[in-house]
Amino acid sequence: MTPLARVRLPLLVLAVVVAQHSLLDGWRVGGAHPDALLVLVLALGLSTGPREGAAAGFALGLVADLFVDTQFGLSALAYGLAGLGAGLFAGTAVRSSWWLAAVLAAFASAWATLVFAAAGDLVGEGGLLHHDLAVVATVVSAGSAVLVGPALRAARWALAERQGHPAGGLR
Amino acid sequence: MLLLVLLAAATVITLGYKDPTKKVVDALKRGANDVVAPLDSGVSSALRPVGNFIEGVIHYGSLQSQNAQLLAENTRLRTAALQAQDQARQVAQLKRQLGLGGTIPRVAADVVGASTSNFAQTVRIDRGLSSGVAVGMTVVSGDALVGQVVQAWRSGASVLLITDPSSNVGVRLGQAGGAYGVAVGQGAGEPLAVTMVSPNAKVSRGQPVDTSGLPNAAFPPDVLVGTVRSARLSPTSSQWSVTVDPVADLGRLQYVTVLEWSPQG
Repeated sequence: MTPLARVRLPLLVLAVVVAQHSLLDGWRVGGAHPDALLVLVLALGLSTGPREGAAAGFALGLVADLFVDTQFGLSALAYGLAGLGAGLFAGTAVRSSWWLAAVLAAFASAWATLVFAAAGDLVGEGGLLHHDLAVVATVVSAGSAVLVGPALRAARWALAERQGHPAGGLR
Repeated sequence: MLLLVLLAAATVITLGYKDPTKKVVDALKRGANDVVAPLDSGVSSALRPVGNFIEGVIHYGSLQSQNAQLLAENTRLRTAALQAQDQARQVAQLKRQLGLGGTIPRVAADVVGASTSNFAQTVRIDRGLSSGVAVGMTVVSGDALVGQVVQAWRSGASVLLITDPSSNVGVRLGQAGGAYGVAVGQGAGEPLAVTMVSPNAKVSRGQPVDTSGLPNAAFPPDVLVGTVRSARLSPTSSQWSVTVDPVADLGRLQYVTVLEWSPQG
């Protein structure tokens, strides 16, 4: 990671957390809202690769865990796997085709939501596999599909990546 | 890489249950919320006029009729408030005469946000440790139960609503001497399910439901929770199947009151 990226990335994460709290938490459909931090994880995964995507997902998952009342580490697990999955599709084809990125983000978000609920249920968090799970997965997926475009641009800026050149990873 | 993520997550989750790590995590959560809360508040304040304007334009027609309804409601509530003040004076006088003091101190708070998690029915309030709010305290809207503080930081707190599936409230159905049970949340907009109600109890629709106040209860006694929506007792069942509508409008909370009462007293 370049020195510029070391400054920009934390700033972007802080901006996304504040945007989630002040804006997205209130935009509810069926009681669920989009997950901006997850979208950023997917964008970072798509911009870098599986290894960097998983690392970014795990780290940002820990950040997300600081603001929820569920067991610490659950978001890290879900985001880490989502980042890993998104990273497998990293490449120019996905990054130059907005609809492919949107579809991948939607699937990865649904997957992350299910992983979070199932793992939470496994460690004794009551009510995560409740009847609204399908609604939550749908809303989070739709939100990710819409937001992944701007998030990809923000990720490229944060990684200080020049147009048409690979980011070089988060190492 | 997959194995590494799974192992790392399993380690963090396991450590999160252990006491020293749990304390560190709680401190980190408080710190993170202390950093983000002022920024969140600033951004929300800056964006509120824009949001209100857009909402006003979209709902102009319905706002006019709503305004007329609110004016009529305001007149009715003023009358009720005057009557309530009079009754409160009488109650206070009777309590003094009977030597029953000990009202619970209260902290008024604004609801500043909904849950960041899609899997928890919580709200964030703008009063925290610096105002005397602590984990375990009871939160009400008017006189109706809203929930319990589950996380507190310097300038705010997170309140678990009674509709959350992990919420359990010890309740009493009807007046003093009524049957006891446990009200469990079933998600946003859903009634509470009351379990453990004895088949010998008298339960009817519309009956008020209060916190039980039994020893070691998590909530103070006699806080209004809701009213019975449905009650069913099948011949083969060993307990009533009861659902309760919460009195507090949990989907539109704006102002709440924190009762400085904790299970430890």
